[in-house]
Amino acid sequence: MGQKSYSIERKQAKWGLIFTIPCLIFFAVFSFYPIINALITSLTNRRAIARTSEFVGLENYIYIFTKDNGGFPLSNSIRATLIFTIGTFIPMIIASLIIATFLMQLRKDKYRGFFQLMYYTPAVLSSVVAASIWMIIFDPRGLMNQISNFVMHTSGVDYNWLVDSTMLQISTMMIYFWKYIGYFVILFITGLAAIPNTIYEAATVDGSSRWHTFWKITLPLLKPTTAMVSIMAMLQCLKTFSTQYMLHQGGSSRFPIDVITMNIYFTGIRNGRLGRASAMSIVLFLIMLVFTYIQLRLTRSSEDVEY
Amino acid sequence: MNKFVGKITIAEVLIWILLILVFLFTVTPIIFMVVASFMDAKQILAMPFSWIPSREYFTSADRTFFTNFQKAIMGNNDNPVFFRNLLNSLIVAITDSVTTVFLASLCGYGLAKFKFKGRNLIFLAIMSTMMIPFEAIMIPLYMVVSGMKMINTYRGMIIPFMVSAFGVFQMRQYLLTFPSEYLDAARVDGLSEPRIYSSIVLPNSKPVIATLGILSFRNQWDNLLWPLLVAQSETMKTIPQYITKFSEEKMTDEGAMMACAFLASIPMFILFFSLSKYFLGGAAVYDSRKG
Amino acid sequence: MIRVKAKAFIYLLFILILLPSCSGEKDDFVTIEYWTHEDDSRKVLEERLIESFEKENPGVSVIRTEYGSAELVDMISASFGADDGPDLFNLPSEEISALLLNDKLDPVDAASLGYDSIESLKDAYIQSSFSTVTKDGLIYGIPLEYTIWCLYVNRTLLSNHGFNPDNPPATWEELMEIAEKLTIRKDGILECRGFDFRYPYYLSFFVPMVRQLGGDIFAPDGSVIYNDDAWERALSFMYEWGPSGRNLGSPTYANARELFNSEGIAMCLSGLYQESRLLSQNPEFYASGDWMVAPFPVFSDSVSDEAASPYFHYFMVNSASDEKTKVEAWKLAGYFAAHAEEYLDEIGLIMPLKRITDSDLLHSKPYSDVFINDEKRSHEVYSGPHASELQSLIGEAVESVMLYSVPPEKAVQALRASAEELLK
Repeated sequence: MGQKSYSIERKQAKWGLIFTIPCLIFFAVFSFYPIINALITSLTNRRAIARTSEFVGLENYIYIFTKDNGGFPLSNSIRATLIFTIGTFIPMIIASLIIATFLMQLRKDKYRGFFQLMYYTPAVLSSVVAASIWMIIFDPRGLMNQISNFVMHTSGVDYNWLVDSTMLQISTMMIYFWKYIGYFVILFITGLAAIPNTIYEAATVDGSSRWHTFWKITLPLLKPTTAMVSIMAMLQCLKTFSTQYMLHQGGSSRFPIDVITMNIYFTGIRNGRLGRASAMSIVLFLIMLVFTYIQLRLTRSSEDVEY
Repeated sequence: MNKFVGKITIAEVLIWILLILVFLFTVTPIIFMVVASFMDAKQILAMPFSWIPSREYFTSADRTFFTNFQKAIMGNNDNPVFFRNLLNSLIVAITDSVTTVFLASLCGYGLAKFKFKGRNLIFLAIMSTMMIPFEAIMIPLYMVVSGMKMINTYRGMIIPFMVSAFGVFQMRQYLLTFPSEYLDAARVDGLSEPRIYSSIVLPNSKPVIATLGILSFRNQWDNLLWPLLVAQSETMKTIPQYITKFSEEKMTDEGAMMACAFLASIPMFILFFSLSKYFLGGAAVYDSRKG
Repeated sequence: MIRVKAKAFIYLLFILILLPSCSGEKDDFVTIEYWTHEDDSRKVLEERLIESFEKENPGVSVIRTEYGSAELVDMISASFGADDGPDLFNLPSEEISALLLNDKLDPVDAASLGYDSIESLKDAYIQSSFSTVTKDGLIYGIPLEYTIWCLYVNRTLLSNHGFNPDNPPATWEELMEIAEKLTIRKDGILECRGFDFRYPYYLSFFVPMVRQLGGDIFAPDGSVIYNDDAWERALSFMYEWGPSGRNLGSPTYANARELFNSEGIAMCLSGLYQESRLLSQNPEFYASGDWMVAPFPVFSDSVSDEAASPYFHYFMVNSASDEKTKVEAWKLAGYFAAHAEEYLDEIGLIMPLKRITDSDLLHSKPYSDVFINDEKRSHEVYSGPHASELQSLIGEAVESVMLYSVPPEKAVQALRASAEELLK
C-alpha cells in the first residue's frame, strides 16, 4: 500500500512538472533571461549606442541615488510613483469594494449586469484611445473646465489640468481610476458572488444589521479577493507608464509625472544609458517586492479560507 | 437576490445615486468620443459644449456625416492601411489570448493541484516576472527576438506575449479552490492526466477563462511599445501605432482623431459586449448556485 | 463542438506562428530598410522615387518605415542598442553625435552617391553642410534638408485687429503686444492664441533668444550656460508668455504651425516647407496672399542680431549593414539627392546643394529672401555631444518657469548643475 501510494505520488508529481514545463520554457527565454540580463547590465556602464560594457560594480546604484540623472533624479521618480500609486490604488480599492457591495444589494440581476457592463467599458479602450479622449476633455476649452466651473460656481477659470504640476498628477490619477475602476469592481463582485447565500441568510435570521453583516461576515470572507485585487492594483499602479507617456507626448511637462517606468524609458531608450536604466528597474523591482511582501503579511492566511 | 425585499429605503436611494454618479463618470468620456467623432474641431472645443452635432455642420458644403471617419481611414494620402493594421491587431490579440488561456491554465493547474519538488520556487519565479516593468527588459527582449530573426513578423509580435505571469497567477488561484475530489474520482475511473485537464478542469474553468481571455486580448490590443519596436513596415503595424501616428499628423483635427479612436474601439466593444455574460463578475457562479 | 473548434483554432495558430517570415533571402537580393520621420507630403514624393529606384535597380527592394519624430529617435537608439537598426535613416542635427562618436555610421560612399571624389561631393553642397557629420576628416552623412524657421503671419487677422500687416512684429515685445490683442479669451480660458512657439525644439528657437541677449550654451572658456542674466531674461519672457503670466500659450496646446494653415492662429514659426503644406491644405488661403513671412524677431535691446538656429537632417547608413546593402543604401540616398529639385518644388525642403541654393526655383518661392537673409544672421543648432539631452534639460528649465512658476534664477542654476553633470 505504502509503496503504491508513493508511486502514485511520483507519477502525479511527474504530471505536475509536465504541465508547468511549457510555461517554464517560455518564461526562461522571454522573461528570466531578459531580467537576468537587466540585472547584469545594471552593474555595467552599458550604453545603447556605444555598446561599451564595462563592469562598474554598484556605481550605477550610487549614481541614481545621489545624482540628479540629467535633471530627472530617481528620487523625484520615486516620489511621483508613490504619489500616483497611493493616490490611485487606495481610492480605487475602497471605491470598487463599496461599489461592488452596493451592486450586490440591487434587487435585479439585470441592473447589476448593466452597471457592471458600463463601469467596465472604459477598460476596453486602449490607453492610446483613452489618452486622446482625455486630452481633449482636459483642454482648457474642454469639458473638464466647463464642468469644474459649473460645480465650483466659478466662471471661465482655467484649472490648468495638463499644465499645473499638481493638477497634472491629479489628471493622470483620474484617467487611471476611470480606466480600471470597472475592472476591480468586477473582481470584487466575483469574490462576493462566491460567498454562499446561506451565510447571509443565517446572518439575517440572527438579526444582524446590514452594516454589521458587512463588517463581520462579508469583509473577512472577502479577504482572499481583497488580497489579490489590492496586490494586483498596486503592482499595476507601480508599473504605470502609458498614461504618463501619452500626456507627456501631448505636451505636458515630464517632471511632475516622471514615474519610475518613464524615467527608465527615457534614461534607457532615449538617452541610451542602459546600465543606469537597468539599475532603476532593479530598484523598482525591489520596491514592488517589498510592497507585495507587506501586503501579503497584512492579508495573511488569505489563501485557505473555507466557506 | 431576495434577501432584502422590502420598501425602498433611504439607503437604497443613496446607493442608486452613487451608482448613477459612477455610471456618469465612466460613460461620459465614451459618449463624448462617439459624439465628437461626428463634429469638427471648432464644435468639439466650443464653450459651452453641446452634445448634439449641430445641423449647420452637416449641411455645410465640404462636410458630410462621415467626413471624420473618411479622414480617419484614409489618412492624408489616401493609403488606407487602417484595415490592414486592424487585422494585424486582431491576429496578434486573438492568438495571444488563446495561447495565454491554454498555457496559463496548464501551468496554473500543474501548480495548484500537483505536489512536486520546486513547485513553490517555480511559482515565485513566475510571479517575480510581474515585478519587472516592460520598459526595463525591452532591449534584451528585442535582442532575443532579433536573434531569432523574428523582427517584422507576426511571430515576433506574438511569441513574447504568449503567456503572462498574471494569467498563471489567476488560473492557479482559481484552481486552488477547485474541489480535488472530482479529480481523484476521475483518476479512479482511469482517466489519463491530460484527459482530466481537457475534460474536467478546462470546462469547469469557463468564467476564469473568459476573464483571462478578454484580459489578455485587451492587453495585446493595447500594446504600443513592443509593436513600435518590432512591427516596422507599414503592413505589419497595429492599431495603437496607427492612432499615435494619426494623432501626430492630425494634431489639430480633434474630430477626425475621435473618429479614429472610435473606429479602433469598435472591435473591442463587439468582443466585450458579446462575451460579457461570461466574465461579468461571477455570472457563472451565480448560475451554478441558483441552478 | 466547442472543443473541436478550439483544437482547430490552436492548429491554425501554430501554422500562423510557424509561417516563415516574408523577407526575401535570395543571395543577390538586397533589401534596404529605410527609417524616416513622418511627413505626409514627403511620403508621397519618396514613395514615387523609391518605386522608380527599384525599377532602375532590379534586385533591390526598399522598405520605407515612418515614425513620429520623437519615436524615430527612440527606435533608432533601441534598435542600435540591440545590434540591429535600419540600413538607411535620417535624423536631425542634434540627435547624431552619439551615433557618430561610437562608429555606428558608415563613411559616405562618394562613388555610390554619383561623385568621383569626396572633394567633389563636398563641393556640390554649401559650405556648412557637413560639419555635424564629420569626424577625423571623414564624412558620415549627406543632408536631406536644411531648414530655418521664420515668422509666418496671417495678414488678415492682423489687420482685423487694427495692426498694419505691412509692419509685422520685429521684436519679441511687439510680438507679445500683438499676440495679446489677437488672443481670444473667455475669462481665463484661452480660446484662440495669437502666436505660439515650437515647443520641444528649444535649441532651435529658445537658445537663439538667449543669444540675442548675449548669453549662450557654452561660454568662450568652455563652461556651460553662459551669462545668467541673458538666460534669466529669456526665461522671464517665457514666464510672461505662459499660463501664470499673460497666458498667451503653452506647450500643451495644439501645434501652432498646423493651426496656422486652418487660420486658427495668426502667427507661428516654421520653415519654407510650410508654404507647400499651406498650398496643399488650404489652397484658397495660399492663393489669397493674405499671409506673409517675416524675419525671426529679436529683443528690443538685443546685443546681437540673431535669427532662429537652422538645422539639418542627414541621411546616414548603418555601419553594421552588409557591404552590398550599404552600397545600395548610399545609392538610394544619392537618388533622392539627385531629385533635389522635386523636394524643393513639391514639398519645400531645401537640400543644401549649391545648385539648389543658387537656383531660380528657390528664389521664385514666395518670401524665400526672408529665409535666405535670416540664414545669414544665424548660428547652426548645437549638435555636439549630448545635444538632445541638453535640449530636454533646457526644455525642463523653460517649462518649470512657464508652467509651475519656478523663479528664473533657480531654473538657471538647476539647468547649469544638470548640464555640468551631463557634460562631465
